[in-house]
Amino acid sequence: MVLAETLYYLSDRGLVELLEKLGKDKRVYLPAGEELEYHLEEAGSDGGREWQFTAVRSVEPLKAVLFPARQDTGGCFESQSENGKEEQVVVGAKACDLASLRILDHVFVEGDFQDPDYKARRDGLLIISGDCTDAKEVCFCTLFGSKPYPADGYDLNLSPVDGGYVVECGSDKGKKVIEEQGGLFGRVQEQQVKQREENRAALTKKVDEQIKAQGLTFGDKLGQLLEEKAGPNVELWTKYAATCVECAGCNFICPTCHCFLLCDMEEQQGFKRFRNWDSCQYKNFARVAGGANQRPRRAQRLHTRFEKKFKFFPDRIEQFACTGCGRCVEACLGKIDLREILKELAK
Amino acid sequence: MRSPYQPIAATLEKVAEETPNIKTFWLRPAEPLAFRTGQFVELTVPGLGEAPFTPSSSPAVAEQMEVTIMKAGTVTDRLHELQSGAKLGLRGPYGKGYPMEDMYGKELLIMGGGVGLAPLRSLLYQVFEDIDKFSRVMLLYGAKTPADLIYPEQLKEWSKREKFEVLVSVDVGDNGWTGNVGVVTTLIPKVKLNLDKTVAVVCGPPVMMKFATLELIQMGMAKDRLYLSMEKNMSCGVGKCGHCRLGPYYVCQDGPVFTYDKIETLAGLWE
Repeated sequence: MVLAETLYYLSDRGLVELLEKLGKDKRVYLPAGEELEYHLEEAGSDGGREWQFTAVRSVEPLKAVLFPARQDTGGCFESQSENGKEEQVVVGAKACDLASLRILDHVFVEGDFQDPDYKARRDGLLIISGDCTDAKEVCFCTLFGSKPYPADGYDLNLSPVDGGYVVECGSDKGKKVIEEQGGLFGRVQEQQVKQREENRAALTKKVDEQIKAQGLTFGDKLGQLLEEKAGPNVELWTKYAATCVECAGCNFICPTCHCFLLCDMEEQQGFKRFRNWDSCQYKNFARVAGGANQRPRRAQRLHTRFEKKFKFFPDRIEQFACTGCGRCVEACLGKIDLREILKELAK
Repeated sequence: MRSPYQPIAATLEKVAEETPNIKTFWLRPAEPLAFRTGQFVELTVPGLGEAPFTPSSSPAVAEQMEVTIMKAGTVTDRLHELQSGAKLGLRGPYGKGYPMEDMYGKELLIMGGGVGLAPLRSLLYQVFEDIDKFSRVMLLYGAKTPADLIYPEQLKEWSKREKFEVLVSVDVGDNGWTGNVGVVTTLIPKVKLNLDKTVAVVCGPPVMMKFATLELIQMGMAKDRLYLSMEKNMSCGVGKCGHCRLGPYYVCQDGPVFTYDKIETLAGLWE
């Protein structure tokens, strides 16, 4: 077995030390909780709460750190706020969150215009991701070709093994951390890498079996099925939208949903402009002055959410804007299950 | 990096009433703001919010901009209360505008409804500059009543221009009205269209655009030579906020002008 040069070993104690060091001049977010319910929380200024390797993704999506729910975009006629300048570290992000970065980067950084706040946060973010070691009932990442462990998009990735972690370096930013904290990172053993691969294979199998048991088996035809059957006039939108209460939970909890509304607030001198999360499920999302609305019905708005995720983004950048994290399934007050809709479309 | 969401300051230099609910605003941006005809800007009322408008002035002038605005919501209601000297904000221009090169050598049919003539006036100014590149220009304009017609004096001037035919209609006339009565589409048979040589540009309220489109298509107008101005809810104007999506397009970036063949099957087109 040839061990990749990007692999290292970090002991449990070494990781805690690393996080304490990083926490000295960076804002660190750690997941915490129990029974597969973890919340992404800011570590204390004393170097962090007790570190816990979490088995599955956090309740909050990674976008909350890069694209806050309410963001000051600057003052009256000034070009830039100073927000988003500081360096941040997110620890324990999972593959389903990393997959969302491709969508968010496309929206906020690519093209003719860049969102300076997102860009600053993205450039200043160090991502220390982790393999999943369990799956929630709502997890279905492998449906979209992902795995329950990160393939790319991280700076450092942690795979738990006996006594510590196999660390994989995935970027120059990660490399810099290893160089700066060289003493903490040790040589990885063949047995540890083997353990990582076994864990990964076992969990991938578990998720695969889980989605198979749930009837989520479309092979590689999902895109084609959606293309052919997910039109705006399909009856199922009415059926599934019947219990929607327009809470926008599905949008706000989704790692790829990026819609926002610029809102102005009067100040003593001039005004401030905020970039606030918005939801395509709100009735007035598409309403124009004068009252015309291209999606006045909930069924139309449920359809537009699917169209955006499963047609718009694949057409633009060949990627579904769904990472299979299952957050929307958990969040929906109306018990609208995205998986059920996909299954019904595939019938 | 300059934030694309942040406007530059602009001074309101003059306001003129066009109709009881439409006014034209003369704006001077703090720095010249060049645009191509058909592109739009976001106009900020400080502290209240902003809304997208297509300038109605000549794209050749970057120092001053005219925008003709109907009262239709929070921002436009406040704009109508403002006097000259007011401080506003501008950002843009955004979108693709009218592809003039594709129209050269053709007979140009311009159809406007109500305040929809405002962005078309900017196009007309561009056409005046390029008039040797057009063999014929037809302007069909309709409004609800004679009092709702914008730019009435200019309409008379334009009708005297060489190569120009200007026809105006109102849905309901009044005592002094001696012109055409009927929706704007009733003007189409009054101009002899050479459909194989014609490019059509339509801008107006959704119902007007819908019926003008269906009428022209039924007559045999090519779908890819029929340009429509799509009005959708917009916030950022730069393809990020998601509001103006129409099928595979963001109206703010891919439009706001589309040929009919690109959009005819899309849900919510006329809403």
